[in-house]
Amino acid sequence: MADIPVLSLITFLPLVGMLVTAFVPRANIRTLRGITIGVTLLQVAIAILIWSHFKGGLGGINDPKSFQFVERQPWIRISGLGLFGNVAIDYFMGLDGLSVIMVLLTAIVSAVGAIASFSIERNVKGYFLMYLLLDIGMMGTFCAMDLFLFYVFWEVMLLPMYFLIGIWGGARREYAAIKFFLYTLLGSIFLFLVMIGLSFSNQVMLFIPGTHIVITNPLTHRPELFHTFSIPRMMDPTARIPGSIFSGLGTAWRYAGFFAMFFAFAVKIPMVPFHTWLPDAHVEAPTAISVVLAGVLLKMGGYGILRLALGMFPEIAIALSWYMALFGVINIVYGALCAMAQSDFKKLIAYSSVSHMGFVLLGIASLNAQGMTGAVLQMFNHGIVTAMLFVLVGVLYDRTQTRGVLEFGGLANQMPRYFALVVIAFFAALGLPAFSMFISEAFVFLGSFQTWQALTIVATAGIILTAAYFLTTLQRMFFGTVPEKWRSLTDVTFREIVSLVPLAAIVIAMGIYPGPIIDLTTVSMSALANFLHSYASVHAAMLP
Amino acid sequence: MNPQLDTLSKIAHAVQGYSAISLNNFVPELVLGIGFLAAILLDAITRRARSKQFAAFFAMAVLAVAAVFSILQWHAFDPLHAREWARSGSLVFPYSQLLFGPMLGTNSIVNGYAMIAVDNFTVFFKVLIAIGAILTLAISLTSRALQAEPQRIGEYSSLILGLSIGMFLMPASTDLVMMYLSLELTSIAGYILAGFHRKTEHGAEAALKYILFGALSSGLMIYGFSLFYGLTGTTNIRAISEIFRINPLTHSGTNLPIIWAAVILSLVGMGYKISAFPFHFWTPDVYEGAPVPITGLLSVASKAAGFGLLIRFLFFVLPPSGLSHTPIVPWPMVLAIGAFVTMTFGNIAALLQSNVRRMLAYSSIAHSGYMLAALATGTLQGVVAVLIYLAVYLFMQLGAFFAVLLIENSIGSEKVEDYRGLMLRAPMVCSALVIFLVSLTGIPVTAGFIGKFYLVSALVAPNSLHGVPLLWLAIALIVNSVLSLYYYLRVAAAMFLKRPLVAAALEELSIELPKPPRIRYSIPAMVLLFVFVIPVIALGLFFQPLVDLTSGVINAFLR
Repeated sequence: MADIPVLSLITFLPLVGMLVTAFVPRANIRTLRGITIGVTLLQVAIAILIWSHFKGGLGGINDPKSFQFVERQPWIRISGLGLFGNVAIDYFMGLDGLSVIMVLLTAIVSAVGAIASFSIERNVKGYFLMYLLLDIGMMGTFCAMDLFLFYVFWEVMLLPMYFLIGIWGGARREYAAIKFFLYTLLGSIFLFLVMIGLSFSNQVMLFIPGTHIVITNPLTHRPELFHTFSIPRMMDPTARIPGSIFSGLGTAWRYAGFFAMFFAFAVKIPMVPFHTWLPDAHVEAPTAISVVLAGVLLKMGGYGILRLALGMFPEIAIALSWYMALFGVINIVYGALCAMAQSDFKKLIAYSSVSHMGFVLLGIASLNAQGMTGAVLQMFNHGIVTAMLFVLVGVLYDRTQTRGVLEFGGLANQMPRYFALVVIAFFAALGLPAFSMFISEAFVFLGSFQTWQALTIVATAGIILTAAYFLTTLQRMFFGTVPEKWRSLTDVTFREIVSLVPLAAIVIAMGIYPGPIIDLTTVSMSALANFLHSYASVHAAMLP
Repeated sequence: MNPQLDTLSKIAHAVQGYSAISLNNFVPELVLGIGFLAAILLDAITRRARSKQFAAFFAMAVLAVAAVFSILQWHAFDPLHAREWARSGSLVFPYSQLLFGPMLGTNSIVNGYAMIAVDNFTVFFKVLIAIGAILTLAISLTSRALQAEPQRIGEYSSLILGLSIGMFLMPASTDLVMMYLSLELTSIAGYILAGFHRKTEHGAEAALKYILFGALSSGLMIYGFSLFYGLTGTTNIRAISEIFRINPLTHSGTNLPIIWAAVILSLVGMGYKISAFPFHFWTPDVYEGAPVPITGLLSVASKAAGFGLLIRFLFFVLPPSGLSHTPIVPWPMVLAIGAFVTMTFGNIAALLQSNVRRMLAYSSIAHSGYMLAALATGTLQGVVAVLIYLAVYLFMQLGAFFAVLLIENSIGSEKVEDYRGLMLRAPMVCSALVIFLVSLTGIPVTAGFIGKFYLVSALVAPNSLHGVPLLWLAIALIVNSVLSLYYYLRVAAAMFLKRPLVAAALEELSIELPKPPRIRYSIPAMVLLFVFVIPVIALGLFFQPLVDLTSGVINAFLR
């Protein structure tokens, strides 16, 4: 296992799929679908393999030695006239307790999305090429432990997403696609700027690959110092160059850096004032893309905050954690209120995503191991549950070409199996015990109550609101009498069951026995919490 | 003795050491010159249209030979040793050889007073320009508009060779007179080529505007040069800088406003060549009216040569601090403001265009602004970043123009609305165009991203000249790239997301049109398209060679 480059394999498997797809005639739709489904299922298999070989006791986060499945090759080494200094960019892939869960989630959601892509009929070849490219970007983002590499993968996702929404989406697809692209790019260019600033603020010694010999200058025989992009090395305060832009603690530059980075991720989460792209993108995107968007792309925001915003600017994150928690609560309540007002099924779920991602922010803002574990679990659970919800919306939309909640009624009798699956998804989404989301929300509250009591109490109101809109929707759509025009609706097909039942199984399994997934991440989150606590005294000194 | 006169007499003494042997440093330009004459002769003696075609291939071969001879002038460069030189503050040029001047090592003080310098900086530009010109000739062979007049291909090819001589000399010039001459040589060939479609209204307008603006700005520039001569008594840029250094009287008191005027007026001519605001007015009309390949050449090679001249002028005449001494005129600040206005104006104007070629013209103004921003740092990082960007820009911009040309060949339009639904008819060309546009925006994994990465790095890097990094300019640059995404994407959206207006209207009436036929492109055209696509992707993935190459260029600035 140690010798196989598993992470490269799981990341670049879709590239193989793309090459094969490129040579399949465009009329051969079955083969095209088969390739993508094959690739994504293989990714699930590799992800499970990674999971089974993952050692839970290693923390990762800021300790480069405790990452697992590490692949590291020098990519760009610029040691020149000291113009830009020596720059070391590595092809550095690795997993810790935070990213392994995300990889697992990405593999599952991609496979579900691939199955949900059967409803695509126009230009199938182009669709799957874009879908596989998106898949590379998603996997790579979670595996990359070099900031430059991370940024490359992060941006690679934008273009395929633009085309997937813009070509295969609904009526206002062009508007939604460009809005998504511009919003996300605006966020990520600030990440780009901070990335460059961080690289100029850090210097480390490097070893000759495969040895423990430090690279030295051939003339002076002194160790060469490199500006590194390695994420764990960048978190090391001893690597910071005195007098550089991000040196020191609690400086104005570091506040600016944190804001810029946080903005990039807040757009992705999405945090409330920056969330307006999400309902548009979700409503216009085809089912499979909504699944991937909600299932994986939103998680990159939370992942980025945990790994980068907290990791690079810990003392700022501590200083501003109350505001982070506040925005988390606003997300929860505002998202839930907006969801209540929707009559479009898909928009309703989009806003419920906004609400649920608020728990992620709240969990992160708690800054303790329980809360952050809760946030990571919430990301995983929300990924699975929304993937399921969007597939369920798709099922109805494929049959009726409408998503108006009020147009339906009495579907419980008409489509009993569909009803059962919707009940599971809804109950999980509203946080009922024995379903997955209950566990993660409980963890979030457990953590955040220790830090922010008042805000946590307000946040619990969000749970009631969530229950309110999900139960109302259930009542409107499934009870009462079936309108005349929907008398001929058929129940879920075999293909839909194949994509939905595994998700339902995960939802229930995670609700009853979440141990295996929690074990994956707690050690890492404790490591992150310890890392933050080492800066807590700085925070105390910064207070007036 | 007056130190100024002393220096001047030393220079005069050194220049007496003229040697015909130094002509061997002039081989690339001689090759081009002989090729230029041969191309004219060839054109005069051939009658048949088919043999005229041969002229284009002949010109490509001449350029390739000139490029090879240029590469031979490259001096293997060991960055580690250069760093030692930089530390020791040596005045010696480690590697550069100077034409029409004493050879290396004879006299370290007067070394470098010549008409042109043959250093790695020059070689880099020469090779870049040669590649640009070769690709332009290759593109021209696929242009339907040019092929409609086969009798004039010979004339066209020889003019490109003439243009190339001028562009070869521009970044090499180390004398104000030589700078002016090379700039004019480039411009004159450029005027004729811009108006090559003389029978069309746009073509005539393009040539006229180009001439008028060119004449005005080069007139202002030579006036600026004359002020430099009046102040120092020499036209050699290194001598000027030396005299400024040893004789503070030349740039104090009443002389200071004169120097300001001299710098600003000189920048006019160079700003015109790189189409910086407010000397850009010719750009949209010339880019629209000239033959597409010439538009590409002007926006890539001619701009590169202009930047070469500008860098040479600014860093040699008025070196910023950190290189040798403080600049007597704070040109970095002037450039910073100019860069900001240029990029913002270019992008906002590009937003309003409905013609793709005009849009690319305005966007090329914006790209000049990005590069000026890096120069405004006044550091060698900035220079290296500009060189990297120019190399990357060559492929993406010329590639974009080539794709536009191929589309124009088949649908006869350059309007964004006529691009609608084109993806179904020409998927390869449309995909390639999207790659170029994405690269121009600066999104990974394209070369444009690497270019932006280095430009922004130069702005964010610790900067001794400004005290703090030019962060405001870095933010302006990246926000501008988001702005540019909007209009680049409009082209992509038209091709991929929309359907032709007619088809959409008929569909409303539920009339099905037959599927539009695929556009067939010749195999050479497709191969050429890949010649552009491959570097754009490959440099985005592995840019180490490019960075190493450009770092080797800076030996020209060490002294």
